[in-house]
Amino acid sequence: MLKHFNWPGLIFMAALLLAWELSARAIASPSYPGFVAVVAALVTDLPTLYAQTGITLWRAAAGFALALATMVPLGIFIGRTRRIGHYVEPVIDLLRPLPPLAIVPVAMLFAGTGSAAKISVIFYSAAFPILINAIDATRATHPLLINVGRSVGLSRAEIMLRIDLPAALPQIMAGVRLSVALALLISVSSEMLLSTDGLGNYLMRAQEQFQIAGGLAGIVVIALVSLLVNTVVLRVEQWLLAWHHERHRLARG
Amino acid sequence: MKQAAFLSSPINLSLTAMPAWTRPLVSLAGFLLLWQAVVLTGRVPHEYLPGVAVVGQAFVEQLGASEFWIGEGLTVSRAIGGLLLATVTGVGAALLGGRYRVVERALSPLVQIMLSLPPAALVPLSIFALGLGGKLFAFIIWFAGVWSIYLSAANALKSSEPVQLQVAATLGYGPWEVMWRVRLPAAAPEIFTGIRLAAAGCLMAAVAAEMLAGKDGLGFMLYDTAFSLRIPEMFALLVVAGLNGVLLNQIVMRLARALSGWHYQLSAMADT
Repeated sequence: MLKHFNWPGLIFMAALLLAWELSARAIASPSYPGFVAVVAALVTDLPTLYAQTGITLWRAAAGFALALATMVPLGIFIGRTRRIGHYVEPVIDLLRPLPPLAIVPVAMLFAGTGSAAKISVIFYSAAFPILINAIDATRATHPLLINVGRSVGLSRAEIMLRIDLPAALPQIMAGVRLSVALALLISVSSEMLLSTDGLGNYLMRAQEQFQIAGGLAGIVVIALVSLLVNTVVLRVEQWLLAWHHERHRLARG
Repeated sequence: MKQAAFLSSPINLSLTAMPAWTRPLVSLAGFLLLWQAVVLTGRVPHEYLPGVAVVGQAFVEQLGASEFWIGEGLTVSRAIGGLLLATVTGVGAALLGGRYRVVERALSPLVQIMLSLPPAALVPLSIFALGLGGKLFAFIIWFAGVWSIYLSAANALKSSEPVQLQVAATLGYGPWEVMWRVRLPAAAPEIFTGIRLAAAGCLMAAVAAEMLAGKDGLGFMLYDTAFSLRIPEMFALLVVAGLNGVLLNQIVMRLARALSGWHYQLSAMADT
């Protein structure tokens, strides 16, 4: 265990933090706080940061859950019903290059600056990776599996649910990982553009009040939260796809 | 019989009779029709969702306005400049990491942390350090691209063929020569894929930074038109923002083909 520990990584990070702290002490300017000052700001602001993190996470989760619930079935349907896919996909290609944050003004017009506007922008950004991966994976499902399903008398809906979904799951999870990361990213960014509450708003307030140490503490929290969320998603993926990895392990012998 | 129906129902037959190139046109027309239909139902206020023709007119008007071209040029050049900077530094660091494994291991936690930060989150604090000008945009857009470019380049460099490395060793290549003449060319297509994905992130960061801290560029214009309720213009700008994504994607793809076209020819040959 300890042999595989990334010592160079740890030493490099520690060196960076030390260099930061020492240079801050040398400069001793309020606009360049050191690492210790940032940690102190983090500790004093912990209750606020905790509450704001909850808001940011809640919205990210809501937007992501909406995307997951709608885009997995839609993607499998489009991937399986090829003739519809030919006509829907160009529209997807058309909307995909639009940067999610560019639709913030549209969301603001229709839904104001509250949670609904932010969740719809998060939904929009989280939808594409799941949708595209679900379409691709369903299309790549081995035809033999579908023929077997048909010959045992499954209906189209049953084939999608019982064959396409499990077969596409490994690739859908790759899309889910991207979507979760995007949902968090867009959640924070939308709070900065439509500033009402959440971590993004915390950062904006810190700027307005020249609380540089506080702002950096907010960034540290964002990094910690997204590292934590990504780890959880990886764990869930490993658990969900245990059968898939097991099969690969067996195939390798 | 039931199976045949599953494969091709009558309505599908009539659609497949049309050549494939008409499909995007049909779907685009369908998308615009749906939009217009929503407008015509009157359930959505007209001033917030203008009809297709109104947006089309605003789009054409924008194309004739020098103000628009200046903003568009600023945004695209900012995105491309930041992407270039991210590519040079990201691939450079990956080359160093590929040569000296300790560098790669040292960078790995830092890259993971930076990758998890939204570039927009850095805007407010960066204003203190970099001011409101070009340096801020360069930094934010660079940040949006560099970590993912580094990661994809590092992964691509790792997967070089052992046989090729052995051949290079037999020919007496030094480590840097192997890197430059064997590993980098072999990794180039995958690196370009990473750059293409990063380009979308850079474009979004450019628009976001212009919204948060700009006084010009597409992001600022989007916000400005929305707040002053010039809605047809706003939708026209949205179309442009989408087209920019296509444009940047095409530029990187052309470059990839020009610089490592041999790879695509090779895989095309393998396919036939």
